[in-house]
Amino acid sequence: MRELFEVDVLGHRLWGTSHPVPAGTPARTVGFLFLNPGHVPRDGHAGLSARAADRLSAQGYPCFRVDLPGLGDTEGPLPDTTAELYRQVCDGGFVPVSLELVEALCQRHGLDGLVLGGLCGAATTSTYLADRDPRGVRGVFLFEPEFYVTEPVQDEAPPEASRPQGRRERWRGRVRRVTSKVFSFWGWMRMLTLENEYSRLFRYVPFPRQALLDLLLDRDVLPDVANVPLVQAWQRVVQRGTPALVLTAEGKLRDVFFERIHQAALAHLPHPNVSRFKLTGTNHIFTTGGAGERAVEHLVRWANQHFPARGEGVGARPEGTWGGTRLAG
Amino acid sequence: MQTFPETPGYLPQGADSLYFVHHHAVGPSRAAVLLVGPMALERTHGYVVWARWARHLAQRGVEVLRFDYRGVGESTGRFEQMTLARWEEDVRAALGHLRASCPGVPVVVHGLRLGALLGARVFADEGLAGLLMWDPPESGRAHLMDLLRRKVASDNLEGTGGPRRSREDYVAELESGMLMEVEGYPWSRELWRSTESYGLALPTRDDARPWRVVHLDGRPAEKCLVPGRSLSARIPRPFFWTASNKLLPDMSQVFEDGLTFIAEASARTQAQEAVS
Repeated sequence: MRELFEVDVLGHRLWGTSHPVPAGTPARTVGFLFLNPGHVPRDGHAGLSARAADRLSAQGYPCFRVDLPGLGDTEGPLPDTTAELYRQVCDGGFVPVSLELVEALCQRHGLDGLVLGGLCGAATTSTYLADRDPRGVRGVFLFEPEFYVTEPVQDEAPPEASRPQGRRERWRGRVRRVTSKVFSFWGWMRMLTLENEYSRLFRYVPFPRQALLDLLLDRDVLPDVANVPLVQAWQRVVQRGTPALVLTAEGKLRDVFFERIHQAALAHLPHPNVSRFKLTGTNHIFTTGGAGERAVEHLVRWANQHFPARGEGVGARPEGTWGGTRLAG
Repeated sequence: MQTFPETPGYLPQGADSLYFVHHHAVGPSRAAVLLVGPMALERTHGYVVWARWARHLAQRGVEVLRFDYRGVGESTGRFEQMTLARWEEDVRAALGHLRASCPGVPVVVHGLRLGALLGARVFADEGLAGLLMWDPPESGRAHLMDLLRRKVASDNLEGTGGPRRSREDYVAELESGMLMEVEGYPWSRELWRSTESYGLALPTRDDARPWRVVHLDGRPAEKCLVPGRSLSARIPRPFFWTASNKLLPDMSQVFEDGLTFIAEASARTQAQEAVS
């Protein structure tokens, strides 16, 4: 069952969908809150958040999916580009509104706290919130978390009228497109993690992909592009023992970054509270390889292990806890 | 707090619920518009622009209703059970709700992509004031083939699709009755087959009601679907219903054209009703 609701916080009227616990199912004292994945509305890519909330509420967890200002059905300002929005999220732009939202939902529904998360930008905001409000935020589920700061925005294509017309200029443009990738950190990262057009070459040319990735991202130090405030927030969340579920698309950009950042930032910290899974054969938004369904299954299992109903014990050792070994998707 | 008068809700549709948002006109209602949106992931990417278009109209005196098809977004239902015919039923249900909410106000249907295909069918047999289509595919089959082309491209680029396959391989898989994941949604044979013979139903010559096709790729006039009834506009690429870096592309020309069309179609209907 789904119900619609609105919450007024910090001058914004936020629209959301709640998934109440079905009658007869014992309700838990913590709920789940799904935030917008990037600029995408609250149901998520291919309905990932909506499906997860349906499944969790059937297990007794009240679930909420809310559109933050400017996104989905909630009115509000937005920057012109996704890159600017990304920067805003990296800087914690949605944190103040989300903090108020957590408090309002807990009060309204008599909950002890909420478990927060979602994909991409939702994971970033949730990490900041878990750091800022450990009493209200009881856990985080991070799908494809991004621990690096924004990539440099590509220059917009010049308008039609001002595009170079001559043969020489056209060639120069083509060469520039290639060289801008050859001499770009991000160009190499995208290619090595099979996320740009040139990565098709690896199908035909043997290449030491992993060795080059290791070179680009030294395992022992934070990469220059790391989002340091976010990494610090993540360190505190882990240190505090907040339950965290991390899902990444194996071998993709965020997966590689998370691995390196995690090793550099948490090398000397125990982290039994972090459950980490790599989903094989999928992309950043989990829309291939059946990853959406696998993500939901991981989330439900993790929820039951860490946030049992009253009277049930917490699972002895959560399945899939990250210890540096490769885990099955 | 700046809030626009908007009412989200659910409409019963069989065993499922259709999610809708009614954007109430600011001031007297001069027209009503049913927004029939694109399919699946195109809906997701295009949501920001679609919601802003609804608000743009509402602020200019137009009642707007937008909704999600069953199995998509906030509506309930299982995607794998959906077909174009079922989604057409959803369009009719939403239309019924809009009419009941705004009695006496002329209604225009505005479809984007798949929504244009479905909207044209509904326009054919409902007493509507006008039909506006943004970037309509030539048929349901062509549309699904276009989405399969994107699947092939992304599977090959991202290395996520397992062994390399072509569109024809995917079609054969669908025809065999297997569910197939396309952009995260489970396509069924029933969905695939429902697109057969589901062409773009342009109004007939003897239909005097206003209708308009808007091509958003800036194509030359001679390549427009119906030259006398088309606008060719160039909006920023990649299109807003795909993975685009532009959250708020400049849509001013298209918005202006759409609003003018809606206002004229509504005024024409009101004038005819006044005469009769």
